[in-house]
Amino acid sequence: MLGNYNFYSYYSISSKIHRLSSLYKIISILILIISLFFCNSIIDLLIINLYIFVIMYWSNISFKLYYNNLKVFRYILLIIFIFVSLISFNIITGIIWTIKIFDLLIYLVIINITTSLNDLVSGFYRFFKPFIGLYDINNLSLNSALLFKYFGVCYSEYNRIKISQRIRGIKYSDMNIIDKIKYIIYDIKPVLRRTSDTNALYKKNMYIRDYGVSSYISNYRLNKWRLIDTMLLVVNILVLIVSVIY
Amino acid sequence: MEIELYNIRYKNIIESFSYKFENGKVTSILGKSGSGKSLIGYIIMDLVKYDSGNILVNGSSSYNLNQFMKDVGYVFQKPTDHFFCKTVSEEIGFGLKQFKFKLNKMESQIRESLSMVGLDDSFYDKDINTLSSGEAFLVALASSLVLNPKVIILDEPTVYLDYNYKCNLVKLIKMLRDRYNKTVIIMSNDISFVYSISDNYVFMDNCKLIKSGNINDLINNSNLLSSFGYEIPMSINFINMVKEKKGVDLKYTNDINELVRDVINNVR
Repeated sequence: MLGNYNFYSYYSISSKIHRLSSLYKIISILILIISLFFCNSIIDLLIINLYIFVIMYWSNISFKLYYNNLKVFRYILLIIFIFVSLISFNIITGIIWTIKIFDLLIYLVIINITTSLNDLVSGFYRFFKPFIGLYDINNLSLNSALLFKYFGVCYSEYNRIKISQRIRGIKYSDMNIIDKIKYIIYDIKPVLRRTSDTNALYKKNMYIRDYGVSSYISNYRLNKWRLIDTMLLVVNILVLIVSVIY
Repeated sequence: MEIELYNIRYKNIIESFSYKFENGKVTSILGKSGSGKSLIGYIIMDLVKYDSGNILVNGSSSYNLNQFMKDVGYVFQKPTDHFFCKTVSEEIGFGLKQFKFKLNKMESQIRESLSMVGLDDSFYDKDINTLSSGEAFLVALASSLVLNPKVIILDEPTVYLDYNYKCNLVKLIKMLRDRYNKTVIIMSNDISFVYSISDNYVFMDNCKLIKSGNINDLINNSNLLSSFGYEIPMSINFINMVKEKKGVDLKYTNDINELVRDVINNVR
């Protein structure tokens, strides 16, 4: 329970994906969302899945860990499958949309656990840089990064609350389903409250660390845009073109 | 309640750890940061799974883990890790509610546990986020004590406490041991605090048990602590000097008046 890796949080190792520019990672998410929206054939999906598989493989993180990270979404995927199949009267459409959502989730998890909060802030900062005169992009990039990591913080707070309840003699695994549901409902409020407190603290610390007294972001732990980022971006755009055209 | 760790092995970190925490005694686990003190607490609380070995409760390895968890109160090093409710009373009352204590008695029990740890009634409705670190520690301790555990584990209890709160804590631990026969396990680096309340000690380094025994042995053998870079309290040096020069054994105390009284009585 304690000392284990906390799901959806940054997994600190060195890999090709960890070293990618966070700006690339953000752009690739947007391209992937558009690609998934337009793809309607099995071939499109296979290409997207192949791309995701390569990214997963390059991240040097075990597939078991990805499986554990994604396990929590299984009921959501089941609900999506049933819902889409029912409204479209077509099981194939249901399967395709479930795979699409699954792909998006898995990609978000990969980016989430291979990118530190700090990297993410700098990625969003560079992403929003064209709007520098129009909006307070320091604040916007911090908020966007925290929003991106929200589920991870939520999960770690939930875990912390469970440990705190455990040391007071309350064990979830021994409960019947009704008690479990009762506790999960009870825990929602404290989890959200603690997550918002933690995020506020992160924001304060990140602001000092990243911006200090200057109004521009520091270059602290900045993964620069390299050739591999450009090459992967080209692959993303090709996948997008294939999805839109076919 | 007596807890015995027998041949505990955890990953490559702890190779073999055996020690019996005696019933009704205060045992302090000493050691530098990263020496594995907190890990021993986590192992006892089933927060980390050890690979091999046994935990014996009152001499038996077949105890009910859920009952055990209710019988052991644990306070984290970082008190904020403990909290998830909005107010102090909700936080302390949480455990009582879960174990279906009578609602009409709950309020008085919460107030009683607050006063036990030295916090006044004004804390009852306080927002948890407005507490200082020291107050937060005491609220976390109160939320453990309110369930009347048989064993209390305190991880670095003095880190956030000022002098007055520390004195209160010493009194409280002594009362829990002497009046209620509780077993207390303390992980601490604060030598003077450990000396003033402990019956036994366990000295750890690199997740290994280096030495254990009665606290008086440690007072007489202060070289062990100094060899590990601990600063020995002046009173210990004084006690050792009196013993060496006059052959008189003085009892360790933090209170200078008590020490002077002891010297006058014994030397006469």
